Amino acid sequence: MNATSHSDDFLDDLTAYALDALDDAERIALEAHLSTCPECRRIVAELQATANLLPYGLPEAAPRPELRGLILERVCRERQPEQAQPVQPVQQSKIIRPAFWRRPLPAWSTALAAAAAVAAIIWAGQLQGQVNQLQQQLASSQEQLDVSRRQLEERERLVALTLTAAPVAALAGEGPGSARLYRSGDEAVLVASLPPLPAGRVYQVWLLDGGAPRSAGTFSANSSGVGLLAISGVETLAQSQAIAITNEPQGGSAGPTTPVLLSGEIQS
Amino acid sequence: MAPDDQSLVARIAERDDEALGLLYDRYGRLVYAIALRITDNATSAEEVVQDVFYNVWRDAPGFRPQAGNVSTWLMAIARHRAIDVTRSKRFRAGRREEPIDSGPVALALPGGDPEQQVDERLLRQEIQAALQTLPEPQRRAIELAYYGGLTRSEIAEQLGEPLGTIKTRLRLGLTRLRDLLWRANEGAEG
Repeated sequence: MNATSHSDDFLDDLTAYALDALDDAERIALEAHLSTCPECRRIVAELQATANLLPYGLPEAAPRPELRGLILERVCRERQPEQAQPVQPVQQSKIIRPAFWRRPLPAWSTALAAAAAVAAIIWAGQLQGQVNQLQQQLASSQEQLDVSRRQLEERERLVALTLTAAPVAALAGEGPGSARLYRSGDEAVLVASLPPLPAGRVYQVWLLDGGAPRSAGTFSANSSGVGLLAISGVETLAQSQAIAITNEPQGGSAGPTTPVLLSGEIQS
Repeated sequence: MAPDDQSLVARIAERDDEALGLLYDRYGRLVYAIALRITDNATSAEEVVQDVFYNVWRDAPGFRPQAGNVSTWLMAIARHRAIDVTRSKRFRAGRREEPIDSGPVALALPGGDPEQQVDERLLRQEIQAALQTLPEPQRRAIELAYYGGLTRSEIAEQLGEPLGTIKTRLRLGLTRLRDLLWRANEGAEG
């Protein structure tokens, strides 16, 4: 079956499967199809990875700090009478739970894991990279670390600002990505969601006021596709009607040399 | 070098409790946030967090870590444990649980580094913004499935809506989220 020919009804089922919202009979029927249709497996994997991004949007919360110690204590206590049989995760619970967790990983889970990795790029993988990078910098010199710390503090500050500031522009374009411009008092911050660029290329931000575009600075997107730029000169911003982003060589250009990727009107 | 998720789980499988601590530093808050969302009770949520990491300890030897699937695994356990808890509690008592303490929360966990927190916050913003663009009924249907552990027939019943309507809401809502959240990351993948 060609997946592109699948109807909305079919996509209904794939969505519900990804959310664990099928009943048992429906699930079994769908799994029979999934076992033969790579295209549907890909769609399910994407939808499942999307669903698993939801918790990252939950309000910030932390358990009591003691919890970490309690957990480690418990595993250390239970470590001695170990050597029992390797555990079957599933049969142990008496409570009915969604089947996804109860069953062993299906053969096609590799495809799913690959797609889930996309979600993980946003999280573990690239955070790891950044942490590693910081640690390498620590090893190389304290001075560099101080610089990274300051950058980090600056980033923290910018992020904090976007949480309280009002968005004054929403940027969009034909291709992937989006950005928002926030302004709070004398400060403005652009938060962009754009693919990382190859080495030697940066994103450059332009303010448009009817004359030649004026550069507002350059930024890079990190591996999770997030870029931040503090925009100075709020007076210039106030005179501008629109804001745009292009892909330029490292260091930026005097004027845009490539087509506009994202743009939006600035609300005064 | 900070170890990646897969090597942490491999070490946990070798009964390395320090690795479990590191995994907790990385995901403890996320697991707690899920548990709190589902149980709506801080005490129950902490119990769920303990169970989740205990399950990880117990099941790690049989788990085959692959890129990206450790977090998926943790979130699946967290959701299912928390849903179990709410169901058994309602079933047993039907009592009103104590409200969540909504006082200020400590942001820092031991080992949680500021860079991670910045990224978490950006991601949170991104996801909340995407959710905001969904019509309320679509968001609600998705949340009832994901956090409520309901099948779509159960959702239809609970909301008193036709099944077809719920099917459509789930499809439109989740595919829209996929399109919004995926676009930005396609470039990062390849």
